[in-house]
Amino acid sequence: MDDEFEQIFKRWFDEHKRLLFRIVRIYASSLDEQDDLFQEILLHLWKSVPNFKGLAKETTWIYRVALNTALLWRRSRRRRRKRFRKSIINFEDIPASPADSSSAQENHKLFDQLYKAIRQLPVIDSCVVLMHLEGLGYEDMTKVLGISKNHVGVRLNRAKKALARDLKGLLDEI
Amino acid sequence: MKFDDLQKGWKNQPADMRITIDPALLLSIVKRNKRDLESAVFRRDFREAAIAVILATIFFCFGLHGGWPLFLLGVMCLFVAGYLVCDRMRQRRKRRDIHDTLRGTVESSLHQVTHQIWLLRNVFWWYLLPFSIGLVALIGSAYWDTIKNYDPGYAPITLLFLGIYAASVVLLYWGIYHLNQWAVRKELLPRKRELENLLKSLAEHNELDD
Repeated sequence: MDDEFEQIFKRWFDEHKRLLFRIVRIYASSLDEQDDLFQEILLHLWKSVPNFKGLAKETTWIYRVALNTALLWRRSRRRRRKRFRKSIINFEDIPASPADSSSAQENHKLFDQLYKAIRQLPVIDSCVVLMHLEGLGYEDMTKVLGISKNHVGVRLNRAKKALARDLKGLLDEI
Repeated sequence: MKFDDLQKGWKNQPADMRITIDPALLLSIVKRNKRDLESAVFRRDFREAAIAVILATIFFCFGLHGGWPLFLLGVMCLFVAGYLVCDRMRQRRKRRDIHDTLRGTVESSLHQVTHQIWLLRNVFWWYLLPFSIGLVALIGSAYWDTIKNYDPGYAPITLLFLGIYAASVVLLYWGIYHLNQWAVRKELLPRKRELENLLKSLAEHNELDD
């Protein structure tokens, strides 16, 4: 049974690690915090595997675990947890090379600013924007958040307007 | 750039950081983290229960020679430990899983924090008072024995000694009580407000929908 759980966990991790890290990057800013939140999400994801009966879609399940963990994660407990944990992620800056095209550099800048702007949003709005950017529909978002489609729509519109305001010049008005 | 273009680029966004994770290490660390967490919770519950059982046993043993007040103190130790362990088990059963909806998880966390606040605010009733009953019985019976069995001349000195002892206990209780209230103010109330705001922001439009 444990082998089966391990396989599921490894597959989830392989398929969704980029998503998990995008979530981590929104809710934790420093590398130290990102490592802590990443471990926290993986811990909850591993604990949730035996409860996964296939009634919910895998992506919905993973979003729920990751977002719930990120939103309830407590920075202040980081030091206490750090005593028992060792870092599992190696972060290494990739300096922009002069050979990079100007559009690639602009892209870097845009996403950097986008992350900053998403962090400024109210937390529920940031969840909605994140899921929207990831391509989730309203139906899936309601299942993750536990709110109505109408509410999701209102939140998303409001968040898009706020992002357009914050990213003036980079993003068209909504 | 339009928002739809941003959505298209989001999943293929350029990495400005190389992130490497050792897959072999990952699972073993996640498993170890889970084990550590579970054993920390178990150790905490076990330590509290074990201390109470040891104290109760000591009081029961001394009670064989020293009389009923020590028995009463032993019973009170067991009561406090039993209450704490039962309460933890009940709350653990009520806790919703992290894979519930965000709203469900926040509601559950808020319930946990509210209960913790209630527990610490009422620490006098379930923790300090039972011990106080045992201690008052012990001090009272010691004083009664002294004036009954020994020279009444010892009564004032015994009273003074027991008074100092009682004052130390009251001071200790005052410290425990205020430490708990400080934890409520410093940690739990801000956390509660945080969760209430989160829940409110999840609820505000649902109310409009209805």
